[in-house]
Amino acid sequence: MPEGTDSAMLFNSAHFLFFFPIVLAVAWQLRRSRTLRLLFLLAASYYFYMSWNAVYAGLILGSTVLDYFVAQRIGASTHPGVRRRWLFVSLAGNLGVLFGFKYYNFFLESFREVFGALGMGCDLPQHHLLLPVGISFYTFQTLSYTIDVYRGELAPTRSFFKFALFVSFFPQLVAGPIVRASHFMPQLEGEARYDDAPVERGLVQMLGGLCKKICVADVLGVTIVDPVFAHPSAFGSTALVVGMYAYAFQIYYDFCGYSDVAIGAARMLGFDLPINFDRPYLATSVRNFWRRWHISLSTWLRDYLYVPLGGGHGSPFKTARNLAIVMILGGLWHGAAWAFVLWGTLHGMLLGLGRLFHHVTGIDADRSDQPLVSRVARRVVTFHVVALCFVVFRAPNMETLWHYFGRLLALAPGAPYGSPLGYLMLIIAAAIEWCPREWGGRVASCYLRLPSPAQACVISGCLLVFAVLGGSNTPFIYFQF
Amino acid sequence: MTIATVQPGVHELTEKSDARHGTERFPKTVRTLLWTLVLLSALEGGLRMRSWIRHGASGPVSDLYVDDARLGRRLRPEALIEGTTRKVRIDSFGFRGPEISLIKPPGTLRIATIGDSTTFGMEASSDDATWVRRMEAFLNANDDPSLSDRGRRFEAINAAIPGFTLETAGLHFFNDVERFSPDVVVVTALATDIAAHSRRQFGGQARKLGTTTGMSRWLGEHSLLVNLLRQNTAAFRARQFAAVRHDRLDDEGVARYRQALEQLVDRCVARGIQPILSTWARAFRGASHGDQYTLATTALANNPALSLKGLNDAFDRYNEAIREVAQEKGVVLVDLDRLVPAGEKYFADAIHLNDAGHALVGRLMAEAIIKSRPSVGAGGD
Repeated sequence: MPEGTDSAMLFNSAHFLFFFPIVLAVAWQLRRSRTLRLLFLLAASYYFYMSWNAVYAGLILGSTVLDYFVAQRIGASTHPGVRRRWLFVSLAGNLGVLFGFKYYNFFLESFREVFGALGMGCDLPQHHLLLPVGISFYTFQTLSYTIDVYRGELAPTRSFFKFALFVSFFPQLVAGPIVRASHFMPQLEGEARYDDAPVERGLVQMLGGLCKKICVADVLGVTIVDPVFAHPSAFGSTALVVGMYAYAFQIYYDFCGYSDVAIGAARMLGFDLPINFDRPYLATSVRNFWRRWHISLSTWLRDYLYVPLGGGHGSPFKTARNLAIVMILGGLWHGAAWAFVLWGTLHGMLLGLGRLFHHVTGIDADRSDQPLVSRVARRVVTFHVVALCFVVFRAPNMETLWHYFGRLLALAPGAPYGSPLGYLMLIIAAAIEWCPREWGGRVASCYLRLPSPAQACVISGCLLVFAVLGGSNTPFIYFQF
Repeated sequence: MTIATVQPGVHELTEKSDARHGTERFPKTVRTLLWTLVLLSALEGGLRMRSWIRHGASGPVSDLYVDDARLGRRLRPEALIEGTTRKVRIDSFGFRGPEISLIKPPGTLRIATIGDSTTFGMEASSDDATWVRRMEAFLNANDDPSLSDRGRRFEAINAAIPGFTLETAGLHFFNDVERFSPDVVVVTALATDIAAHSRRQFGGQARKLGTTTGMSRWLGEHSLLVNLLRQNTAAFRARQFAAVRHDRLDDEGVARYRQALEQLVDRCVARGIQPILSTWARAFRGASHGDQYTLATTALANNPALSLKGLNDAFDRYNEAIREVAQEKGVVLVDLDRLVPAGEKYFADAIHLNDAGHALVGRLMAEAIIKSRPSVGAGGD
């Protein structure tokens, strides 16, 4: 977890509870003045980030200035070499900052260990800078803009402030979804529309997201996941299996909850953000999982890394290589640790094996016309594979991971572990994920049909539950990425 | 609208269309949010009204205190809180109870009591119901010849302030109370020290332990609704989140408390003031007095880092430290921890006494003072 997130304005904090209605009210008042509204939202977004760290807002501003001018230069030139050079400037600048803050110490430490094993020294100093919250998200977002302009898929924007708002828009600034300029920028044109339906739906989505985070993810974390992962050698395999399931749902509800709040908040402000999750634990294969999990990142990796590498058009070996590169880098994107590299590698291998299976047998695991039994079996297997991989993701170090899998696979004896509330939340989490999609829609529709006083009762009830369970403002897991 | 038109119909249509998109239909969400605000405000207001009627104070942070640069806070002189279930009067010197003179009357033995809310008597129904006043009344009504033959009168000063640790209570005593020439000082500071110790040791893990931070903390302190919800669900949360709560405070903090108590005793003795130490009792000790979690609710809320086991352990070790200091220094000990039965009979919550508890403790304290046969100090009459 990055240091200093205590002071960040989290969506589940009382600070945000005051901040957001004020922003909403002022933005609504300014809806007829495009420029003022844009400038206000920009100021609010910077305030949002600066409530965590004012100095680091300079990094966002720097990245914004860099990519704005680089895109102008690329757009102004027709010479491929010049365009490529400017793209390189953007890549070097953005990835350089990202590397410096996020990966420098990690690689330095790794090199030291390697050099140390070879009897050589490495005297480069480590830095002790805070990891800027959300740096991986906004870096990828601005890069996508520059690359799209370079590819000629997008015209560079003339308005610096619009671009600045695209980079720093507070609902998705620190943990996504990673929005493409082609999706967001057109929404800054014209007069803002505040129709009641999207605003209401946005509110429902925000409440739902906060419920997922505070009532499910945080409770699972405290009651089951944290104790089990802290001392796996003290638990039997039953508790470890429950811990594995609990973490799979904790990380999903934590991140999906954040995305829901972000999308709902943006919707209330009159913006549409892309969905980030599509019921990932219903995936019928690992490939299908990545079409449903953190969609904005997986599509980013696909469009800006996998496809340029050649995608799946070459030989099976090349495809496997491309998948491995993409997934290893995708793993590393999550954090500077070998556990993330291992997690990415595992997913890369699983994707590669899936490709090979498809290549050899010609069977498409994701076809929707398969028999129900086969589909259910694939879902069960995929969920367990993904959940096992998340153990790698969560384990604080390799020793813990070793103990975890050692005891899990050895079927070590021991009683189940966790409080009744934790189990209840685990069951609710699974039920929500696996119930028919339309049920959720029905619940939302029921709420939307309620008169205002009844809706207010529901919201008040939720807020009071949040105040009791969420007083501690546990940060979102994806803040660290 | 910026469209200039001479065709009234077109203009009107555009305005209507705009209203449909912008203002006419939007208010449902606004109405809902306003209703939410009204509902929460009504709940908050209702609770404050109830609190004001019952306890004479409308909020969790009442106007009973004034800021103090040295102590953090002190009692507001002349403050009066009066409700149907509680009456608190602060005298002009900032002590709970009736006015007291700075000069000790001749033949009077003054007993100062220092400590936190347990001694202040936060849950007692009136000033006279606190154990300090009960002790005073018991002593003055006592017909023990060894005490009464000199026509002695007893006067108690309730110098305890809610939220004070042993350190701040000591500071308060030597700076503000000693000038009233007390002959005896009864020290009962324990619960706040345990909470402070817990915060010191586990503060860094606040999030996982349910300790509120930032504005959330502000909300808990300033909203009676949130405060009551958190207090009343503390037992439930402690039970469910037991795994991440701690079972033991470190020895260093207990040793620090013990050292501070020793210094306080030495300083009192050096100034001719007889110290009397007291352990403190709790409602939730032992499993035979009902549901320990329920009985310990307020203590669990104030010590979010500690499990029930940890709380019991902390109280046991702090009480043991008090016993050891009393024995080592040869001062009178009132072992309330062993003398006051756990359960609901004598407690209003986890550690605060109800009127019956105050009466019992007042009697126990008075008996201890009678047994110790204190003499009027040099600074007295």
